[in-house]
Amino acid sequence: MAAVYNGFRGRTCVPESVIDRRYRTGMSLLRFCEWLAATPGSIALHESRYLYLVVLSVHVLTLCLFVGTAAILDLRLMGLTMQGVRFSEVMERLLPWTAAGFLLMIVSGSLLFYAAPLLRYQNIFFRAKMVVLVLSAVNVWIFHSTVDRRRSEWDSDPVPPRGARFGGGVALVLWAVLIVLGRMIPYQVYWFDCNKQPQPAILNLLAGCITGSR
Amino acid sequence: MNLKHKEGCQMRMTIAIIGMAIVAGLLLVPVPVSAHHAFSAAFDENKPINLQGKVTKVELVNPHSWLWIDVTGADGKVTNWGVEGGPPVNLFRNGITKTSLPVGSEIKVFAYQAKSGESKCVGVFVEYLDGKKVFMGGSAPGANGQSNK
Repeated sequence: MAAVYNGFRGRTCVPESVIDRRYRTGMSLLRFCEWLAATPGSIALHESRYLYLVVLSVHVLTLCLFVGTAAILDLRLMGLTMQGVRFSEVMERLLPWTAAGFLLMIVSGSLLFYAAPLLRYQNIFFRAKMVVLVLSAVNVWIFHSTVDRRRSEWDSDPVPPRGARFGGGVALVLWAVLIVLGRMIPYQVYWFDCNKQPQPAILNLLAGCITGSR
Repeated sequence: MNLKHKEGCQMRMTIAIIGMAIVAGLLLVPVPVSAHHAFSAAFDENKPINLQGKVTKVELVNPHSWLWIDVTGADGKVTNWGVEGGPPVNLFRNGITKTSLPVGSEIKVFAYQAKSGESKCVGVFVEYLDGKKVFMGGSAPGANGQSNK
């Protein structure tokens, strides 16, 4: 099947139309963002009088719910607050709120992306924010698959073991970086944008700008 | 003894929490603090500019609208300037719609230039050639039409 991509299209036994479709779908997120940006819903949200502003406000206000409760969990993990309360109990009481906040964050954030897919995709701060989001998820996953497996051993400890403290600290730092990067997203436009060339090659690379014809 | 120990713990916790708050505060320092884009974060109050040119694009989009005009300089060189306005809802209120500034129409703009030195600025008002002014409702001083009549 590798022959499909060898450039000799006419000589493969796969119909031309199939090759084209595969080529396009596998091609790039950029094309997808261009397509998404041209959908009526995306345009309507981008040009809306109130909806976009409401979504933006929800996204920012949800910080209180999501990062606020997550920060308490992380501080408990670090042994810096509620030392007399079992970690499991803190989790049971706060996690539903953290999860609800996260859901709201993802929904409102996706809508903000949907309103201007290309602008977000070609934004260095947005890209960095997504990387940090993945790192946060990895941090949570590492915590749950290592030190949290042995939770019964340290659940009541005022100060949890080093691994748990480290995970909590890393999470706090990542949330802070995530918020700063999110706040910086709208400022790239004053610094540079892909539509105004020439720009330094490093910026074009980081932002995924397409220069020249394609 | 036990009581003393408890007090010590609470003291330590309080110090730790204050420490955390300071660290978090330091982390957040680079973030500009105003409601939405602070005018002064991106634009220079000491660099006002009068532009006159032909509309090339009108983007009535959130969170900020952009008006693009081709301005011919004294040397005959044409520069495409981007002029930031408020969100669409503000421009609608002030009378700028998708059809009120057709591509190719000649307009004047009073604005403040971007600090980055790019050909971008934040508009205070648009002036039609017949003298009619429309405020751009953005972050520029006077752009809401309250103080600059």
